[in-house]
Amino acid sequence: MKETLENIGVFTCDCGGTLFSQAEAKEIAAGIKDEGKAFENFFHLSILCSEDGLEHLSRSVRERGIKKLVFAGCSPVRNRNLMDALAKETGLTHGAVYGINIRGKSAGQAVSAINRAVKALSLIPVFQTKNVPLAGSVLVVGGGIAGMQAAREISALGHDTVLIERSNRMGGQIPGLFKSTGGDFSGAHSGLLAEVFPEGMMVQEALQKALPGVKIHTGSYLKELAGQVGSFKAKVQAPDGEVRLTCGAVVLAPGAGGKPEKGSAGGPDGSLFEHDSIVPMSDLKAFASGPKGRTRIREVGIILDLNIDETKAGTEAALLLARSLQQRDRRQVHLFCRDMRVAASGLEKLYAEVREAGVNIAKFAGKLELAAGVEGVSITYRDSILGLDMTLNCDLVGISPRGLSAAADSDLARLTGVSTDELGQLQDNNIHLFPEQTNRPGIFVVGACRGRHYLPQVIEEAGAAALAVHALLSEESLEVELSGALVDPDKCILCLTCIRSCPFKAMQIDRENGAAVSSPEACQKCGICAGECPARAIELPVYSDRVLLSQLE
Amino acid sequence: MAENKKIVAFCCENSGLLAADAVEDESILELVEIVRLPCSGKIEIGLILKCLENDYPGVLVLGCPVDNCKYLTGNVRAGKRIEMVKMALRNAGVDENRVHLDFISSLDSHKFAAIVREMEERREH
Repeated sequence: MKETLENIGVFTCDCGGTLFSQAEAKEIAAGIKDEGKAFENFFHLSILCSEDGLEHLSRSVRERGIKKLVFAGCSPVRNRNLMDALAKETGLTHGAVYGINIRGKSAGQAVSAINRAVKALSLIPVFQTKNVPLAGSVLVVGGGIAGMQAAREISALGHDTVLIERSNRMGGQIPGLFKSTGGDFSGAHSGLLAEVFPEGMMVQEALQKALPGVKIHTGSYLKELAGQVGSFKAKVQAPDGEVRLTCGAVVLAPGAGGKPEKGSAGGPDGSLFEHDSIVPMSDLKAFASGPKGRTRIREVGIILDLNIDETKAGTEAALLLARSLQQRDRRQVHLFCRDMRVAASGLEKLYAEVREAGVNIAKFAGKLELAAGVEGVSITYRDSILGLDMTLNCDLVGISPRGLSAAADSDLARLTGVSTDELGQLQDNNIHLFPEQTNRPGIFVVGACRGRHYLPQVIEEAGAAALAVHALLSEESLEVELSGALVDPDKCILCLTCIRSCPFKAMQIDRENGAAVSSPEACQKCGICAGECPARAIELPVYSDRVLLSQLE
Repeated sequence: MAENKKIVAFCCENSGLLAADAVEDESILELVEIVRLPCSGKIEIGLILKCLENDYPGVLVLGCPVDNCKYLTGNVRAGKRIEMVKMALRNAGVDENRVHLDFISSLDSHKFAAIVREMEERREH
């Protein structure tokens, strides 16, 4: 790669007088090595993030014909918007803008940081950009409330929307939820619920009216998904044959897996359920009022957070269950949890009502031990409020289902390349993705497939996914900078390590060249493939070995 | 090990670098050469070995806490690679503690200082 030593600009920002004064700026200027005219093109400007500052900067860039620039001011990582604006205003690519943080640094430190940045920039090529066309239509997989809500909002934002549902019935868990929440759907505000499920059951005529413009295929499932963001090629198996679609974005809402089975190995600890007195929470009601001989059940325990923290949806279900069990047959219900997750409208009130009804809420710290015997189950725990070790005996214990709700359609993860968390639910357990993003750009997830979630929250998140789709597809094309992973076809040995290690599924095999190649629209420029490649065939140009080693004195 | 060379700290720009930026104690900053990475997952085994070969006393790799990697699996990948480097060093009879990986958040400037100080102390012994 050709070194471009000419025309590097250095811009320091005084941040309204809080960074460096004019006198210090002179000291900095004096220390800058004249590589690539960096000394000549030194500017000390005021408040670069303001409109005036940016204009001043881009004027200087144009006048001097600056090709790359070092921006020294506040942290570039904490001010990504500014870095974007800088690239946009100056017409330079992101790779040509090198931000460094000089806040809290002495003038001497700033000089050495600037000199290193200039050195790095001189080794970074100038990148081309590419426009990736965006297909306008959107595929929504799953006809539960999450998928329906997302489809409705995406369609309302002006995108062609196709919704596919595996079963012949739309609505997913809604009829069941209608029953368990007494028809108020946890207070979820959605026109869709009231319009399509007025009595808990779907009204067929209302469906198409509530989802105007959405093409609905029931009894259909996704068979294949190829391509990257902007032009996914989907094959859908419909009852009357295969349908092929090209879509710009995909929303996955396949719903949660089935109810946990008693004795299933998939439980918090499958062996727990071997004992008759310990059951999944969902079976508790049936067992408590169950067959004769079981009627002497007086003390019922409900355990949340046993291995994994419970969600708001599970907490709500547990609270409703505790209240209904407590109110009948003079039972005493003990609800065990580490923390009560009630941070949603209505849940705090429900919690208060449950306590008023007489349910004993026991908050435990650390591990909770269950020992099943002839006389029921003894529960030993450390009460985090009393600070005492406690033992309680229950005739019957129900364990919350969190940890048992894998995605309904486990093929979907494999098919779409969307990564799952440790429970097999779609979407990684990673805060950068929440709520709707996945490891694959252009594919979004909503609803119960990412865990049992509280209905009002699911509806909001479906809206978030719709907005994310709209943000992506509202432009005609996606402009990407070709500064992603670069494969040297001569060195590539087709070992597929990069394909396995890329978290974003951006690597693929270019059959023509007989080498791996990264899709610029999906590559996130993390360099994981470059770090993994055993043949050292992959390079991330902005962080090539030469650039990295140039940073060492 | 050359006396005048500093410890090399490869810092993920989303965590380690921000932590290093927030360190105010100059005596700590004088001990390290900070190299910015997009993600700790970018670190290559060859690069670490090259640093050791060039007489740098120690190599630090600082990434984001687990499940908090901006690129999802970068820190886990880095962990595996550092283990391989350490194994290679053990087999070659070189002190494996000259290479160290840590997961810190962008606010952990005190941890950054402690990690650097610890490596420097080990170097002196």
